Amino acid sequence: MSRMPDREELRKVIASRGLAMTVEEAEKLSGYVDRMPTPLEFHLFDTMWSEHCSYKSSKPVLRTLPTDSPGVVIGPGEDAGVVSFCRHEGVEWDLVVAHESHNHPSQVLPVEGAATGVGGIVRDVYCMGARVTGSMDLLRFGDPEGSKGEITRGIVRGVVEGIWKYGNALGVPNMGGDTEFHPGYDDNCLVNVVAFGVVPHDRIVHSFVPEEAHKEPYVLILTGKPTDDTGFGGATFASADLDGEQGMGSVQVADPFLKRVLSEANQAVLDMLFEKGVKFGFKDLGAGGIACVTSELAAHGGLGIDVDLDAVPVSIKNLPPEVIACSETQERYGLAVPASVADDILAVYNEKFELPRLFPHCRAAVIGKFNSKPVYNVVCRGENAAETPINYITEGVVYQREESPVETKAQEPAERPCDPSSDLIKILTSVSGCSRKHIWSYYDSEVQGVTRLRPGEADSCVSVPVEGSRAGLAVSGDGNPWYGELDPFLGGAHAVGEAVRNVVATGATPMCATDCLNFGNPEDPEAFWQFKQAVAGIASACNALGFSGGNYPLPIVSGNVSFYNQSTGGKAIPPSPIVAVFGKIHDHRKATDIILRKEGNLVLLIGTRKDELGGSLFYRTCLKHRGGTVPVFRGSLEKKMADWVLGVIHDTRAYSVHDISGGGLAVAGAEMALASGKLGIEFSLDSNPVTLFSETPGYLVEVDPRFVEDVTLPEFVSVAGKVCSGCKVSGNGWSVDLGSLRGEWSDKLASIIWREEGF
Amino acid sequence: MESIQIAVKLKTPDPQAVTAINTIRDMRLQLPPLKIHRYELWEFEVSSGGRETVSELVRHFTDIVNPNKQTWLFPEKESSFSEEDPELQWVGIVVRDHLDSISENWTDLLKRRGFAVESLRYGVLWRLGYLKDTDEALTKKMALDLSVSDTRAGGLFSNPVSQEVSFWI
Amino acid sequence: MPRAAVIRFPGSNCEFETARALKNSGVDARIYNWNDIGKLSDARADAYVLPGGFSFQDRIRAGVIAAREEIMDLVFEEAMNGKPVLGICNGAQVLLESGLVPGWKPGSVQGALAGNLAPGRSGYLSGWIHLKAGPDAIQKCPWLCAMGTDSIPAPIAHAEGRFVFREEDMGKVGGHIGLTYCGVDGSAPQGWPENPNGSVLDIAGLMNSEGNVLAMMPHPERSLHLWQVPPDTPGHWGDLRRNSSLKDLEENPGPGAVIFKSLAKHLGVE
Repeated sequence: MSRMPDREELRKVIASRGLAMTVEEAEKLSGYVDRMPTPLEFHLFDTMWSEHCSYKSSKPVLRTLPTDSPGVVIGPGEDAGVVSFCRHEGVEWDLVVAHESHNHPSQVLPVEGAATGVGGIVRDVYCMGARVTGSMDLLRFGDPEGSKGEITRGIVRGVVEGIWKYGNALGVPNMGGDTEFHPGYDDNCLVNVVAFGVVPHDRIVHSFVPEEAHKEPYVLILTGKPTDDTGFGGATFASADLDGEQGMGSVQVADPFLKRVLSEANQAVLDMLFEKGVKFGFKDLGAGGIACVTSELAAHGGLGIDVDLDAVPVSIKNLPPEVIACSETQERYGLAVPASVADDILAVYNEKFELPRLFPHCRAAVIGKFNSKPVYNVVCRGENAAETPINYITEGVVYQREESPVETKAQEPAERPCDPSSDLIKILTSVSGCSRKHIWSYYDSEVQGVTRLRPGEADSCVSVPVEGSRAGLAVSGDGNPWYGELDPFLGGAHAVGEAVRNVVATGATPMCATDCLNFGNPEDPEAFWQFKQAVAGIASACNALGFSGGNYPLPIVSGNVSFYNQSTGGKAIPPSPIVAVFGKIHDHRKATDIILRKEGNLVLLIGTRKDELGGSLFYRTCLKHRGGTVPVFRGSLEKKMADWVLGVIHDTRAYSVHDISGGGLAVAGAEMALASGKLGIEFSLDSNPVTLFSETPGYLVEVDPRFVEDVTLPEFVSVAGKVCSGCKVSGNGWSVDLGSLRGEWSDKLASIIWREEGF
Repeated sequence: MESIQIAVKLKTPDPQAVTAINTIRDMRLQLPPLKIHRYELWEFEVSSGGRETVSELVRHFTDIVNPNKQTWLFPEKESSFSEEDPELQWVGIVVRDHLDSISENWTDLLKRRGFAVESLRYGVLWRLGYLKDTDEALTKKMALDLSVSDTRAGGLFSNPVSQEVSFWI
Repeated sequence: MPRAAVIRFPGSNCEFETARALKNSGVDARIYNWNDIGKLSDARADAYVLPGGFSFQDRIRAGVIAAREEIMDLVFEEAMNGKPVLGICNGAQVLLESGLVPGWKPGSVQGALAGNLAPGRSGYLSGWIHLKAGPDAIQKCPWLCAMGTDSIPAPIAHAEGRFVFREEDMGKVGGHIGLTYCGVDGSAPQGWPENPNGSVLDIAGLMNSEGNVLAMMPHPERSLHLWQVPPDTPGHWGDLRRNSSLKDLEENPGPGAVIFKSLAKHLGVE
């Protein structure tokens, strides 16, 4: 082996190989191996020390998030989080949840970027042993009518196409999500993806080699798509600025067909292993490919491993060892199993499910042996491609980043003219305020036959994931970039708050949350400050919104950080904490939707309106003003409101429920009428912008007129109006016929983005 | 009015072409094509500006060509497809739907956006590479046989009811 | 108990709920892999179902590769023997590409499920539409024999669902209509989205001449229970869905159950 390299030599390697690591990090690596690192070692550590894998900037901040609650089975750290879900016929079922971003790839190759985003997150849930029962996409795009509108429109079309072409084929129902437009995403869209599934508690699979491997021989089986070079460099790509040519061609190609066959084959293999009573480890291949999966399976189980790259099925001959080892070819999994069952496993993949016939060069193969020597050893064509003390690989690096507060200079508008009818119409026919139906219409949200409420029918989608059980699962993901921009702390807090309300509005009790934190360059003190503020906001809201009793918070059980979301001009995206909340409704039959039921029923307002319209749809759409005063996050009030609404739903006294968020009370009421088609709401409130359009968190709940005689309303609840016939919404001195507006409201996105009308 | 075609190809191996060659292998033909390339073929009826008009719209709409994953060309003759193996004899088969909303919607969109395009037609160009020394007429006949699925065991590339097939020249 | 075989191709993705739907109606159901040919042959099932999904990822075109799988020889033979065969969505596409429907000349491809035609959009469309049985279908088709004459709501989710025939065959199509798209009240559809894909004669399900093979685009296996019906559904089923007690919501069948009930009735399940 060679001597220790000097800084200049290391700098040259970094430049010539396009690595993202710093010279200091390369020196650290050289120290670990005590020589010039091999190309494979460079690429492996480059991936492991990337922001994506190591959380090197974010780790100290993420530790401040609450993660502990009685229902948590596995918190952050493995591929997905796990919480206990329900008990049915003697089986304890757990819910597995994961949340990730695929932002940069989607900006460059919208179809493939979004598709592999879905693919990656679904693999994270599969590899915990779960059946995936839903996915959700949280999308942030630039202004489709703005200066970069043409590019943005193409990206929106591509991302939606990628989601349907890939997601629908997988057979995982799409549970909606949300879509926001903000010019701050013109150069850098956000594609955040969530997936979830259920698994019997005693069948959770871990992503490390089990303890038994200390006693008997264990091998590593690689299965799935043959390795190629297409994804090479993807992990480091996700953590570098986007600029023109760089990074192009390194986006992965997704194959939902192979994925679908593989997931059924995996299920058969897992069934067989459980039946045999064998302990095993299972992990999907993502960033860093074979190198990451082999080293992590071994290291987290306290073992070393010998990997033979010549045994890896490849689709391109003569790839260099570092490419075979670090390529990010999609649709692959690694299994750590006893050598004694390896042949049986290979037979399931290669014979029963015929992988070699279905895809050229595709097959499962044994590519490594675990051993007790704590070394990561890789051989390729008879040569040592890596020989590294294994604990260093997973040790990671941590940086303390500097922070510096950002001045927002935001102000309230001097005047607030308001014509309720025309302002409401403006909002409902704006790209921000119109229906997302056109997007959902491409998604299969009913495959598996477990869907109870689809996108648009209720504040969150609800499914019944455990066959035979009445337990319903509600999911919602939220995050308002306009709030984040004005106040990242409140952006984080309201992301939790809104997702909680959306879940509560269907009658589900929040169990846990996941987050994806999308920010600019962490080395920029202002961007880092925004990140810290948003995390503090999330933590504060989670601490206030625990539903497990005692002082337990709403636990964050999984998540992801995405930095470097900015253009080459260096302008970061608006601070974008995006939070998904998962709730459980014990009896799905009680789940509520937003469809008004009966003329003469009362509409209750939960949450008194306050003058806090900063970032509101009303300001943006009607006054073309950002405003300054974002709604205050009132944690204990949010909790009280949620508890009260849940009580009404559980007593089956709520006919329909809708949360108040973007657009305020008037828009919430209009959306209920639009969803109903034949009924509307007559509000009996003052017709001022604060009452009608303030986005102070709250709910509208439809109840029987007798309800107010039977129940003493708490101080935060009042009667706001009543259900009337006809698809309309009205108040003192104003009225909007929504029947005639319905076409434009539901077709707006298609018109602007898919048909490019009006440009 | 000028008719201008562009052929668009994935930079990575096209999974549809891979499936096609595998399926044909299972058909155990006496003289199967040895290689298959798949292109998306867009044919524009351009009212002015000729190729410049087409190049311009290709630059505008990444849905048609995304340079990060696809290459494109104005195909004119066999030599346009220079990356294809010259050791084989190539036949081009174009498959189009009698009616398809991709063509209709893009025609509307391009007109609305002011491009000098009267209409467009979307299709798929399958390029089949046969052994060099095979008789040309025979090669064309074999390619055509392979192009229409009259029965489930027969041709592959088009449905005889909803699609039309032609040689690409 | 009669037995149905659900055939899984690589890329199918509705096999589990389809098997559940059959069992729910009193027909035992088992899922067979595309290469379980020997097992399927030995089993001699009473009925065959090709479930929805994306067999071979719709490569080249939807259904064409699966139609060539060896296991389809067996399905073909059983269909010719008069056994009930149902193709749902991608399964319907496989049946068309196999020449089993319309089947004027069995084995010849005489119809197509072409790409959806809709104003200003192309590709996939999911949502709920209304359906009713064709004139001869209730008498003729084992998958529709329990259907009434009223319309039922049903979910669709497909990109290629437009039935097309050759001009010269159009005169023969009428007798093959299993299901058509319709308005809530059963009237002829007023264009898109009541006819969601531009299908000729508003056909949603097509039979062979004998009626034992049905290729349908909507997904009855996703609307087995009343609770699966969207709350904003118009008409009778919507009223049922919105006004049911918790008990009825759980226990009452959804509109799609009738397809599987029909088979059970045909096979003599009480």
